[in-house]
Formats: sequence, structure tokens, C-alpha cells
Amino acid sequence: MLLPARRDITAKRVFRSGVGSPSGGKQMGTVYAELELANAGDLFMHRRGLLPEDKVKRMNIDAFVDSGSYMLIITEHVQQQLDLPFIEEQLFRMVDEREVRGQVFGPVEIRFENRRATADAVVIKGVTEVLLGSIPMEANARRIGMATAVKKLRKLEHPPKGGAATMVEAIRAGIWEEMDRDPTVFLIGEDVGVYGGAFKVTEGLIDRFGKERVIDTPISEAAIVGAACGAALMGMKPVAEFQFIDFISCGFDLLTNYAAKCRYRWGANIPAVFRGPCGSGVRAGPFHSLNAESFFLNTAGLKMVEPSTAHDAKGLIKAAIRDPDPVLFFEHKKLYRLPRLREELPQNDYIVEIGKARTAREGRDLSIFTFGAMVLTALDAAEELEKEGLDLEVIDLRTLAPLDKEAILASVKKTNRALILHEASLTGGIGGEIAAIISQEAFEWLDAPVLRVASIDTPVPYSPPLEDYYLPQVKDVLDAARKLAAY
Amino acid sequence: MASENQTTNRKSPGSKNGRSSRRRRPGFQMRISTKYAPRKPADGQPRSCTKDTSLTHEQMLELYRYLKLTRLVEERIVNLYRQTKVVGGVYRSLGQEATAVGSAYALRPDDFITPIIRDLGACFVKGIRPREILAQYMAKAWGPSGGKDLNVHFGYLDKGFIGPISHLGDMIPVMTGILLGARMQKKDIVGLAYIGDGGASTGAFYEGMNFAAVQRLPLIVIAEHNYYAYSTPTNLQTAVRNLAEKAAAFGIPGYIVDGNDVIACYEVTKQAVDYARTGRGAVLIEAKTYRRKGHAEHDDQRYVPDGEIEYWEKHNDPIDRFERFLLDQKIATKERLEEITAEVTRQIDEDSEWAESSPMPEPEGAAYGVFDNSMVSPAFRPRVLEK
Repeated sequence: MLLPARRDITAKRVFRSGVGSPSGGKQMGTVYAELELANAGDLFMHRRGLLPEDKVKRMNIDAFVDSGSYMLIITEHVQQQLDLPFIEEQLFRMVDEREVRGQVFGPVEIRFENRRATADAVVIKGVTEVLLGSIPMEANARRIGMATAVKKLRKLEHPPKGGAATMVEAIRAGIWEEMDRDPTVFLIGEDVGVYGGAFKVTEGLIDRFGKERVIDTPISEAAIVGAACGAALMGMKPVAEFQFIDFISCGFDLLTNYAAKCRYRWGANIPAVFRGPCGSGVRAGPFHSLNAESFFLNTAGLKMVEPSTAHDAKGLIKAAIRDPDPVLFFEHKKLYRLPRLREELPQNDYIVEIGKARTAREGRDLSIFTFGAMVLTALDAAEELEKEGLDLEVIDLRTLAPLDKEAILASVKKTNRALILHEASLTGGIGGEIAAIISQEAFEWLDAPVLRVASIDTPVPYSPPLEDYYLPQVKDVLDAARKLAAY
Repeated sequence: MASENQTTNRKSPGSKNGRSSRRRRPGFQMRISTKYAPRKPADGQPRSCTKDTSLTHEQMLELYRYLKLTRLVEERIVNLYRQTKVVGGVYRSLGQEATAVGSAYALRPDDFITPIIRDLGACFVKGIRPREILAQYMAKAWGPSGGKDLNVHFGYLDKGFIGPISHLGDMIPVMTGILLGARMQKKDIVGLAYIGDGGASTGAFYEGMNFAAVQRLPLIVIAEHNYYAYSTPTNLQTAVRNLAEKAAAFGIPGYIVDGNDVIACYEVTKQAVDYARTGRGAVLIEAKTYRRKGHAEHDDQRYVPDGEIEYWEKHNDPIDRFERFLLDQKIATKERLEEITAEVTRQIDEDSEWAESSPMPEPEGAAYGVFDNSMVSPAFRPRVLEK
């Protein structure tokens, strides 16, 4: 191979060289736009509508095109198909200083929306992808074009390995790293491509990994789940997005009947992740506030996780992608950009094991079992009660299926008092299951009945006073904890 | 569509087959091919099969073998059911075997299928052995699902066979995903998914077909119009006259084929396969056929008008038609066909014996395989009385 992986070139060129750089002359300028990632040859020609028309060859591209001078790096195959006339042979200096010989053909007209440009086509042996770059002419450098180009390419930058990150940045970095590491990982969902997802979790991934691996779908959750399952059977690792977890109901059938049961029925892996924003408390009303875990708790075959920190979000999304079973990954939308959750992430490639709870706060007097945004509510309550001399332990479950029974029982056996806190409605919620585990397996250790604090048994209302009444507040946790402590 | 993509149809001078030329997309135009649709026979003439075919004589005899195998395996299953050896329901494809056999025969070995319950013939064409089906029906340990699921509900990824689930329509999006994955892996396979006139009313069918059409995936859907979905006649299922008309909703071509003409089923699927494999997208084929048995063995078919079943049995049985064709065209002698039938029966006897000799699964086996058991331990029944 003459060139390293195509996308690496793209990123390097922007920041290491550039149009009008002092080296000038024969240096290949900034490659600032990539054409459609497509199979080379026929498929590319077909899908992009390449068509010879008299002397000027036209093509539509999704890339930015400004007026000016450009060159288009094409494959030999494309050159033959277009029947472009040979102009001359030229030397090009690569970013890594190697000199390579390329044949210049032309001209090709490039069109994007109402803008047009003419470019020479260059065939470099060993380059198998089609790239668009500016022509190596120092005099023709256009500053305005460059600025736009760099802005577009910023998104292509690899997210930092470590450093401070919010939860949304952590999830995005986790997905990015897994897509980099494993070419079978791909994204599928509504508006996940150019738009970057409703909450921008997948922003820039389409620029980096192309349309083949970041697939925008119709508004069809059944198709998203079904297609993810099918691709997973083929050995791919889909990461499917629900725009809001409320819409998981439209994919419920395929999740519970197909994804969940394939291994059990005939031993087939479905290594897929189904992720999306969940949770209430953001005034989003009855259809954008769901906590869906208890719908799936009674379905054998689906793992469920919900992080409450940026660190865990990145570690869990990576673990979920690598997991051989289907994983539902709930992301509390209130936590996405919460400054309180911004934290330094490790530099290394870490995962957080699925099935393991985390002690968010150690304590002696009482255990709160919770997850997601309610971890913060529990921690706030614990801080308040510390003033009253009560020492609360907060267990962040992180994985909701399969539950970390060991951690739950160990904490109960230590504090002898258990309080379960969750955002979904009380009746039929996951709290009932946890309470049952505790009362069945740690009854002798209990000094008080197991208490549950959860939302009331209604849909999630929209108006702030109503929603605040619906959701457990710190005060509700304080009341319950005091009652338990005094029992 | 941008108008510029429809302005010309010229072939590129440099391209071998003109595929780089701009192609007219179907848009709102309805494109239904009726070349292989059922035709009324000339007066007094019994129905036969399409004569214009690329199939060799050997291949036609293989088709005959699969047709007989399907019918006789099903008859064997019914016998086992009456002996109470089959645990669950029995679903017949009597009278519609040609659709499954003919269509699946048009595939390459690495192509994928996902049948529905009345496509046993397609499973055999895909290399599933009768013994596996028999063991599945009898809930035996040696069945491919080890007793965890029924009949054709299993799969072999290496054979390109993905068994269905009972939720009709769900396999259309799944097959779409298989093709999406295959495209990312640069494999040029096509996917054949079956659906019935009932299943074509589901949301999953629409979502899957629409997504496949948008992505131009090589998905071929055979909609088997067999007049009844359980007891519901097609006029209570859909307001279109032909299921193929639904293709217009997806902007893909539709075909109507005589589903009881095994050669027509092969030829029309072959065309669709060639169309799909060359990157032109999805296809919907409606096969007109008739379900001569009830939904399952217990169904008394009280909803069927008098004489209807008998009419189809007498005048439009796919195996009778093909036999007549083979004899009239002098492709085979009666003796040769009887020989094939005897071979098939021998195989079924052998496989049946094998399946019956399989043990039932160990009860504790139920606890395994919900998750990867190296990560999550099996779901054993808790022993509450033990300390």
C-alpha cells in the first residue's frame, strides 16, 4: 500500500499541510472533502450518477466545492470508465514526505448543489478510494475555501482519548473508538448521519466513517431493530439509536421476540446495542420522557445498562458494543451535558463490565439502590442526611439486567436497611424485583421493611409543577430514609 | 428525484454493460410484470407448466424431487401427529409447494432465504434435511433447536437459512439487515424472504420493504397469495386486487406469477435475482396459489365455500401439473418419476427413524443459552428449600 488508511490521510493533511503552504509547488494540497464512501468501480459510478457528457465529465458529490482549482484523486477504474484524456505525469509529495508519481487526466466537472468546479483527475497507483483535494497550485489557494474546509474537518478529529468530558462526549468517544478499533461496528438510526442524532451523540461520525457505516433510516423502528438483528447475524456489530427511548415501543416486537430469543432458539449471536435517550425531568411530556427498563425486565435475553457518570458511560458503551448479546443502553437525557458530571476520563482503553454495580457513596446506616439520574438525587439526599448524623450508602446499579445481586445483598447485609429509588412508575417497576430479591435472600439481615421511592402511577406529565409532583424529589428520599432509619 | 437523473438513458461508451448510465427510477409508475401470471387454459386443456425455460432436464427432475419430498414429508408429519408424536401444530403447504421450491431453486448456495411456515420446500432446496424437520416437529433433542423451538424455527448461517418466527412480517426487516451487513462485507448475495397475503398486512413488512427499497438492497420478497390467512379471506386482508400492486408503495418492480407452476416460479425469481444482484434494488413477487389445508391440522376449514378445495385439487395441483408437463414434454417417463418418488420415500423412512430414535432433551437444558453462558450463568430453577 502506498498510502496509509484513507481517513488518516484526510485528518493529517488538514493540520500538517495546506493550500498555499511554504512547500508549495508539487505538494499535494489539503484534502478537505471525501466523496461518498462506496465500493470502487461500478457501484460508485452507478450510485453517484457519473455520466459522460461530451467533453466535460460531470459528477454530483456530497462534498463541499468552492470555485477555485482542484484535483480529484480517482481510481484507475473510474478513469477508464470516464474515458478521460491523459494530460501528463506529475510528482506528488505525500504528507509523510514520500514522493509518488501520478497521472493527470481531465477535466472533470464537479457539482454540488448550485456550485460547480472544474478539476483535473489524478490517478495514483495504490489509491483505491476516490478523494477530492485542492490542486497543488500555491497561487490559487483560496483562504475562504480553506476556512470552510477546516471547519468541516474539525468534526473528523478523533475525540481525545482521555481528558475532561461530559456524558455525551464520553458516549460519542466510546462509539468512535470502537468504530475505529473494529470495522464491523456500525451505526443505524434516524437522523444519526449528517445531523448527528437528536442529541448529537453521533455527530461527525458520518464524516469520519462514511454513509456505509453511519446509516440514516426511515422513521421505522421495526426496520431499525430488524436490520440491526440481520446485520448482527452476518457478524456485524450494529449500534442502533432510538431517537427517544419512548420510541422503543415501535421496535418492541423485534427486540423481545427476535433479538432476545435468537441465541436461546438456535444459538445465534445478536451482538447489537440498542441505545437512546431516556428519562424524565426535562419537561418533555408523556412521549419523550420514558424509562423503559421494566418493559424489558421480564424478557429473558436482553441486557440493560444505564450509566450515571461520564466514566461509566464510556466504559459501558464500549462493553456493550463488545458484548456478544443484545444490550439496551439507556442514556438519561438530563445527564448528557450536565456540568456536574464533567470528569477526567482515563487515557487508556477501558471498559466497565456489564453486570457489576458501583458503590457511588459508602455508608453504614442505610442503602439506597438506584441508577441513572436518580443517583444524583440519592447523593444529594445523602449529603443532607449526613448533617443529621445518618450515613447513607448509595449503590449505582449501572446494569439493570442481569442485576448484580451480589452487590445488592452485600450492601443490605452491611447496612441492614434498604431503600430503592427509581424514576419509572412504582407499580411493576424494577424496584419491586430488587425488593423481592432482598426480602427473599437477606430477610434475616433486615432491620426494617424494604422501601421503594418511585414515580407515581401515571404517564409523565408535561407542566413543571405536575412533573415535579410525578418524579421523586430529594425531599421524598429524605422522608423515606428518615422513616427507615427510625424504624 | 432530481430531474437531471432522468434526462438521459445513454450508455457510457466506456462501460461494459452500460450500467454507469443514468437509470430511470420507477417513481410513481406502477411496474407489474404479468408475463408469468396464471392463464386460463384453452378449452378442455388441463393446466401444465411454462415451456420456455432455461432449466435442464436434470434440473427439472431435481425440482420434481423437491416437490415430492415436500409433500411426502408433510404427509409423514401428519401421520406422526396422529400418533401424538408431534407435540405442537402441523402446518401444511399442500397445493402450494411449487412456489417455495421453484423460487428457492433460483438462488445461489450462498444466497439467503427466510421462509414462512408454508415454505418447507424452500428449506429442502436450501439443504435442510427431512430428519431435522421431523426432529423439530417431535421436539427432540437432536433437532437443530434442541427442542427449544418448533418446526422450521431455526437457522444455519452457513447455509444461508434463517428460520422465521411466528410474528409475521418480522423477517422482512431482518433480511434487510442481513443484506445491509452483506453489503458492508462486499458480498454480492441476494436475500429471498417469503410472506403471505396475511403477513403482507403487518407494519414490519412495510417498514422492512421500504427500508430495503430506499437502500436499494437486493431483497426479493415472495408474497404467497393463497386465499386465506388462518380463516380470513384476502378481501378482508387488503383492498388491492393483486399483492404485487403493493410494490408501487416502495417504488420497486412487482411481478405476478402462477404459484402452482414450478417453472414459472423459478423463471420469475431468476429474473428478480439477476435484477437485484446487479445493484438495482428490491423486488416484490406475488405468487398466486391456494392453501388446500386449514391453517393447521386442527382447522376444519368451515369458512371455505363448498367445492373450492376440490376444484383446486382437481384442476390446479402443482405436482399434477408438473408431472403432466414432464410426461408431455418427454422429459421423463412415468417409471422415472415413480423411481424418484420411491427414492424420496426411502429417504423419509430413514430420516423418520432417525428422528424418532432421538431422545427428548434433558429438562435442565432449558436453563442454558439465554445469554452467552461464559458471561452470565444459566438460569437454573432456584432450589428454595435448600439452605
